[in-house]
Amino acid sequence: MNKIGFDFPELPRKTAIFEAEQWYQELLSERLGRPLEPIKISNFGEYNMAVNYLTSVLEEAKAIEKVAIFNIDHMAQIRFKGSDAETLLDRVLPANVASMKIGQCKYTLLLTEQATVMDDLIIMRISDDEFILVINAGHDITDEAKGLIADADYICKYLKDGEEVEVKDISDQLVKIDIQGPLSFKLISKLYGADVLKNRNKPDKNMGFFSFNEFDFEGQRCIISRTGYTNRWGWELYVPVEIGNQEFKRIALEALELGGLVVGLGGRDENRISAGNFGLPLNGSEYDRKHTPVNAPLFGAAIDLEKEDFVGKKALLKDIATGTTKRMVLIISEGIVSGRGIYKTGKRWGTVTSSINSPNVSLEKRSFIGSARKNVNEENGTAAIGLGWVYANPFEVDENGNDVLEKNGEAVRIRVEFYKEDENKNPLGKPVLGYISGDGVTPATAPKALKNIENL
Amino acid sequence: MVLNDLLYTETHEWVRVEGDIATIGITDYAQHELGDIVYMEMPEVGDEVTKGVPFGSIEAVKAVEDINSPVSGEIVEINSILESSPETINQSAFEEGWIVKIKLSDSSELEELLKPEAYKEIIED
Repeated sequence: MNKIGFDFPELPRKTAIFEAEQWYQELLSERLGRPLEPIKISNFGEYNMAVNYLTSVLEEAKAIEKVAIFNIDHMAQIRFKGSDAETLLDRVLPANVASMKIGQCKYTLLLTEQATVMDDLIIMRISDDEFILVINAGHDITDEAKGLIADADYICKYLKDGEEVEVKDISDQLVKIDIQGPLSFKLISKLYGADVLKNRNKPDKNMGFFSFNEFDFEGQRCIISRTGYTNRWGWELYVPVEIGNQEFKRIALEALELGGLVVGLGGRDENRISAGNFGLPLNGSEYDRKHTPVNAPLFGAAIDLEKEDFVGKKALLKDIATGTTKRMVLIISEGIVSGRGIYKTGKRWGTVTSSINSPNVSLEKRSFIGSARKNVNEENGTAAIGLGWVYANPFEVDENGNDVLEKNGEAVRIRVEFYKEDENKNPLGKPVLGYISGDGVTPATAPKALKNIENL
Repeated sequence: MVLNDLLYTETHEWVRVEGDIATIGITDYAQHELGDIVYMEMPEVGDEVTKGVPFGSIEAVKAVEDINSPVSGEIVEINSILESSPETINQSAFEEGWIVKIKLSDSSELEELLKPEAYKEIIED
């Protein structure tokens, strides 16, 4: 079979809506009456992506308060079509693909034979014999010299002779724009009509969490799914590349009208950590090619251990049988602690994998740190939020095996210290203060009923 | 923006020399790269600092970076405004956002610092 993944690009790629982003940046400077500053850019998955347009702090707050728009065109979409598409995906992926209904989305992982993580992804069932996989940026590149294999090429290694599946990277045909936050319902209804957010099987009801619709707009086939990486109410929209710039502009303009903003990858990083009790893991940070995903927060949703087989199942079961105790935890700290060791009374508990400053931590949660830093303790201040892996569950466990995250009506918080370390993992210098949080930063609204936002 | 009357380091600190006192800050380029600065970890007056060794750190939304001392000597003054308003660096990196003043112990170290033209080349790469 021919290679599906792209060659490693010589220069970082531009997304298809690069032009609309520049347009937005000019509009922003006009509206705010400030000098035009270049968009702050960083390479993500061999794409030049916006870190922020305005400032990360302002953008981070939008998905919670109003509406946040994201250019997510760097992520790739792979189409699997044919009478054996379901069989192939079910053979490889740890999710139960065969049980998926048309119109359903499912979060899952792509594992190595050693059960370490290649990628995490969302799979959409378009029809009986057609699926679209939405995968992370840069996972569309196959370059043997660099040790890179695209998800599509990796999955196709498991294709058997005579099986009929057409696998195609359709990313260059689709532009992905995420619309998240409480006013997302209003924005989409206004631009595309309220019908596109209805349940395809029960038209008098709203779309369910992790489902998608297909609809025609100006003769172009679009997809909208009730999913997202903010863990808050929101959607991911796929429009044909022909109308990508036009639609991004319309959406951005409407978002500004509603008090929202276009949000860069800085804000996206904060948003994925700040919702829910455990935040959402990021491939390359919380997931990597060296560790299994056992005990990650979404493990149960992503992996069906009842399935007869999938790539990595044997190694995964072995890891579980050895009594793996590691846990992913959410941390709140007085400052950024990326890569630092997590210590409790001098004992090393684990390592921080993500950390970013956030305006979304309440004063009460910030005050609990006991920091001397002014920004942590003032009314509209910030604290860092992050994720880390610890060797053992830091929480007590109740009789049902569930973590005790609340005691006497109060969230359980475990004070820890974060140290820089030398190459032998000896702590260096003064620690940054913080705690492991049982109650997260802000609630995860994503799965809650849309009636909460449909009349906003 | 690069000012012509200052010296620079490859790690984006600037140095203004008046007699045997060097005022240190981070460049406008560096503050722009960092974004919103939320916290400064400052040294104390009287601390001895060594060229190339961090004397504090600067924390923005997405990253925390060391501030490397461009020269050796003794801290004689710190800009206490930064403890309550670190964003001053975003607003005025070369003036109000200065970080510390150092009494030089070896003024020959100044010769190793970058001239404005050389620093300009680094940030325009």
